[in-house]
Amino acid sequence: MLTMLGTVLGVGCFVAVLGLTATAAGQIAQDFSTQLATAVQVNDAGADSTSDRVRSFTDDAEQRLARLNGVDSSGVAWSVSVNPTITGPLGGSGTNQIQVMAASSGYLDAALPIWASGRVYTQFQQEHRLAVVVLGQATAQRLGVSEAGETIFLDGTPHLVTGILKDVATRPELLASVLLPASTALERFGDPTSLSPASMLIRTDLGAAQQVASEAARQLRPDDPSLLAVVPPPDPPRMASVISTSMQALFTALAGVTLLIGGAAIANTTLVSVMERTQEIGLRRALGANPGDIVTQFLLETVILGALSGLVGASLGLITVIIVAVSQHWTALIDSWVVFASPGIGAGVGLIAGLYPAWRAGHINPIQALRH
Amino acid sequence: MTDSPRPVIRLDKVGRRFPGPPPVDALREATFSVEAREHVAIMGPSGSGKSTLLNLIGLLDTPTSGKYELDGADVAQLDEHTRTALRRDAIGFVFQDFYLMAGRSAWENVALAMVYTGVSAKQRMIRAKQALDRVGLDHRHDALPTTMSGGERQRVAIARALANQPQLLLCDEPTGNLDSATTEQVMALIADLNGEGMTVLTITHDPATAAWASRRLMISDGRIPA
Repeated sequence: MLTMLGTVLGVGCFVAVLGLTATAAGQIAQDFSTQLATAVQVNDAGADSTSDRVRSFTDDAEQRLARLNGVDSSGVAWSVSVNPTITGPLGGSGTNQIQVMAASSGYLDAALPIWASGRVYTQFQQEHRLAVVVLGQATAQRLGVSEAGETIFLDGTPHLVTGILKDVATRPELLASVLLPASTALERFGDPTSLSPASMLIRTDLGAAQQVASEAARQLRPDDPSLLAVVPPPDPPRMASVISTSMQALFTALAGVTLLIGGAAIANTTLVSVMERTQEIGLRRALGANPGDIVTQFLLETVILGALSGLVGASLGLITVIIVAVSQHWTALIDSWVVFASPGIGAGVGLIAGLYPAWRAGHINPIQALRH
Repeated sequence: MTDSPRPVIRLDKVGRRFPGPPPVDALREATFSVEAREHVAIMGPSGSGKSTLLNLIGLLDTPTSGKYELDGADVAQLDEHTRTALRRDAIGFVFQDFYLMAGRSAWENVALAMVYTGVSAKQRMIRAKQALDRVGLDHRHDALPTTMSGGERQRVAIARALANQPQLLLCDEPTGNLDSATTEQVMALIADLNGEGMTVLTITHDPATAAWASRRLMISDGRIPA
């Protein structure tokens, strides 16, 4: 049983790891499809060495993009070039270590926010450049803001907190920032600099991202599309394939190491078995077995044990994959060759692991073996 | 093989030196022969060289000096493979400790002797049961050794030695683990086999066991006096 255990665990791990890898890779591919695959980024590439300030996006950029088929929401954002002193509702000395970002409400919508409190600033607040902000949850905690409706101070000027972000699907830097309406930031701090130029985030319908990406630059700046650099989302099937391949390579190596350990366990247990059966080996030699007969016998035993263990291991591995997939609400995926090849893999491990013990068994002196 | 009496075993100044250190001469210039159908007992105390002699005669070991012929063949001229084949086909071993496999039935233990002869599995079973019948264990074919008495176990071992119908039966202290009544039964069985034409060489330190032999040789300090 101990001899089997090594290979059972080894092959079981092998099947489970490959199965879980395939299952997890499939799940990741799905996640990519629904999140990253619908986000298109457009960067402002209009800066040159002679220009300190740059703003290639027109004021009506969001309206222009809204006319493209498949665009769900879009907006512009950038990091402001100055670091104002920010003070929480309770006052104090303030800090200028928090990043201030300009972000239109469309940008926040495209980042797929989850709100802890309140909501994004209104159209009215943006058009009239009112002193309003949205905070990431971490920033709000740092400033002592517990809910929307409280006030913080930027360089002593009060700003109403309209909402606190709990999470976003993309652009996690939003969570660590104080976010001002783009119109307010423009008036207060001026255009974006060439060091931190503006970018647009476009949220598209599923499957529309590549098409929107191909049209966005010309739609935004028909006069000079080269001012804008469009970053399309990763191609979902290709991304899934890349992830799947790299994960499988990693976990196949892991499974290989597991099998190696299993093989070492078999070799060790078989070696112990050879020691325990020394007298039997001596008897067989006395009855006319050649060293080759003894080697063959032990190799056959380890190969059969390995194959049986492979079968049991494959079953346990399959059960593990199914249990994990069901508990995670995933779709269980496993290549059929992994299951069908398992007895062969087990037999191979048994063969290799049995080589040295079998060789030793075949070369035991029969006289000493009988006296054992 | 012929039916006329002739030496099955012939040793001419056979010696066996173990290199040590220190080197030990376990057998020194042993010279004797055993004719076909003879039952010879070799007696001697512990450490006298009995086991070394049995290993040499049983082709489990090779002499370091002298000449040993088994059924006319000089074993020194044979390669390992041929010696193994000769041991398998011509010699049956009976050991003091029986050497039965505990997890296998009586007939399976007997059949083990035929595994290396190319006999089919079915034939092995038939012949094993016939051998058990021959030693009076016709009712114990399927019994496990652990459920058998010492005498029964030794009879299974004798059946195993007979399975390949060898020419020579080598018995190493065959009654060493048996009481006197069982000793009588086992030696009577061996005497019967000898009576049927089998050459028997028994190594023992027990005079009662040696008494069943037709000829007795003494061994002491590796020497067998003429």
